[in-house]
Amino acid sequence: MKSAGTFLKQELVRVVRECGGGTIAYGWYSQETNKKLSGLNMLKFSVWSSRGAGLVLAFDGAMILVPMLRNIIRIVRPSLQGIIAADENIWFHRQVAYQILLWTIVHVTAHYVNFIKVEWTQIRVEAAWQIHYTQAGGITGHVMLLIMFLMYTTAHVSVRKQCFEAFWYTHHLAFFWMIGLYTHATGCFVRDSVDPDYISTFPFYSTEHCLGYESWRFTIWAGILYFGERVYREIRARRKTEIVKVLLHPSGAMELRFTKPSFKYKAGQWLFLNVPEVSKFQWHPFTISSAPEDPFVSVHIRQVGDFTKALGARLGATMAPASLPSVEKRELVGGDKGRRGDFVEVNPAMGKGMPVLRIDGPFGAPAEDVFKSEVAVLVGAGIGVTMCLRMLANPKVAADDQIYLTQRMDVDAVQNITLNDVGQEYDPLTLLRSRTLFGRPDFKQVFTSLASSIESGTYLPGREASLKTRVGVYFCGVSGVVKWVSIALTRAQRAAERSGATRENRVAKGEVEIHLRALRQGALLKGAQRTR
Amino acid sequence: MGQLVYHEWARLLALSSAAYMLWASFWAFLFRKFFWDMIGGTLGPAGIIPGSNTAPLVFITTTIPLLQIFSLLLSIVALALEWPLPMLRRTAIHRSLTLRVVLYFLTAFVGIMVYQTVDCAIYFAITSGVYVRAMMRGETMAERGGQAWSDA
Repeated sequence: MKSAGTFLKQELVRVVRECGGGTIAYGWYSQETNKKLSGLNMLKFSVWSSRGAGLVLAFDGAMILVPMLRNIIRIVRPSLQGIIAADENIWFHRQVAYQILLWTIVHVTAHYVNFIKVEWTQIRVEAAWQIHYTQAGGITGHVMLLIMFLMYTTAHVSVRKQCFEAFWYTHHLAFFWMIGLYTHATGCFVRDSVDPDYISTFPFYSTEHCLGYESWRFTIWAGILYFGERVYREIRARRKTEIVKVLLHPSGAMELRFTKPSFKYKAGQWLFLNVPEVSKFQWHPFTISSAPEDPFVSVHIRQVGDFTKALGARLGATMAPASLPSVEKRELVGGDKGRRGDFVEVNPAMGKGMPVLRIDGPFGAPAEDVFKSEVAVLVGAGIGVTMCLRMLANPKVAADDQIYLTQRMDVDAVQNITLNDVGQEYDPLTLLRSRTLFGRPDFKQVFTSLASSIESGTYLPGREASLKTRVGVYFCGVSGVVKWVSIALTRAQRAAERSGATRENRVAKGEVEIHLRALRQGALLKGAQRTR
Repeated sequence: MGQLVYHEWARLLALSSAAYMLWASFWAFLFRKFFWDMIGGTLGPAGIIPGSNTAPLVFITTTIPLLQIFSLLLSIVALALEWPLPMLRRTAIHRSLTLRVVLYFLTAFVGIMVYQTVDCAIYFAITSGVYVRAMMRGETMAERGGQAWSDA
């Protein structure tokens, strides 16, 4: 059985590809058969391919912005759930970008042939260099090419990880690229008249003789929506936000608590955070670790990247972990289950107040989705575990969870945990009823045994009554781990497919569906960034 | 925040420029045209009639595709150097930023002559410039493994 995620991915690529295929076919056909354009059709294959690829590029030029409409996606998503993997928007954005590159190669190659043929046949009295470098189509085309040269190279994962700004600033060249796209046809290259038929009113060429696709009339809407979205995000980020407390946890993770009355969220969503004093334009995604009913919003930030370290320094969260309360002194804070008392409150250095904080969000699917699947596997990697703990603390959950500890710890700490572990009702590390296991988990094993125990009816007895058991796999953390998890998941699914007996079981006992969903899209995005 | 390693970015620029030039060079054999033939040339019934001042350059583009052969070879060299070919990996040639600056400037110079390779020639010039920037920052390529670039 194919996981819904994989299926959706393949479907999405297929849709884009086939739209591309269909579009180029239409573009080609409409050019070749247009009697009005018989002059241009003397150029034969080159003009048919340039026109075909051009139409695909117009379509892709709109599609590339669609996955970037974060707020609209958030609003639309609940109704699209199960149809479009909206959480994977950056992945989709990249697929469209690859399509654009492919069709650009076709389009540009064809035009180089077109223009040299125009010069040689003189079907229009002009030279190739004039079309390339003195007419709107040529100029905008060459500018867009140069922009792509810079944008694609700086969007490479190695550059994004090294210097996110280099990627982020360069990527804003997209603004000029879009202007180029919308005005690409204003030179009236595709026409049935001898000379371009310019007029004095918008769009400054007559559609009677200028016979381009007029695609900008459709594609510009994605651009307008995106522009509006960016303006809205800017306004929203500037609404009143105040840091109320900064808590330093052992291992250097800091908890930032703030209030923002205009900020409404649900558990499991994430936000973008910006501290102009630390970095004016850097926005970093973090999962919200507070519950909506809390009087504040909190995020847990591990100080590992240069942004988070600089933020820690600014907030005064630079104390050595040694000065923190030791493991033995850890106690449950009265009435606040799932939270420990082993943090200290920190403050910025003398004379410095709390810095200005800007918040954009919330984004992502609410964690309530977790409760929709009968069996949920939560994978919290690194600081991502805070997210999972929040959910497991929910009384609705009958937790049968396993927590793996893979961090390198010194012998003393391990000793301590082991000692504390004996005969305790709560796990000394997580304060949950389940025990912490050590070592990196074998995810394939975990999934396979889970699937087979559901199928044999030993896991969650009584589940056989319904036909399907949804196993949701939710992930929060760094991107390296999501890769293992998804590979393991695919393997487990393939193994399940191969065994015929299991299939029969499935028919008899109901189907097991396994989904992998990144709980926090920021987690995936994060992998693309250098800091965390 | 964050330090861009210029020569690593330049590698991506060089690979893009070289791939472009490789593709464009093939087409330049099929549709042969010296780009600057409009200088001193006139527009005739079968395209630009080059002037006598560009005649030798037109000869090595249209009659014998010499410039195209150069641009093709140079783009292959650039790909071999940047990917790199296994035998070049971590050799003195592979680690030389100076070689790249010179080589890519030369490639840009050749490429700008031919109709199809004008754009990628400009890209090579940009790439060369980014390598200059890397050298100015004192970046070096590690002898083996890792990213031992200095940030002087």
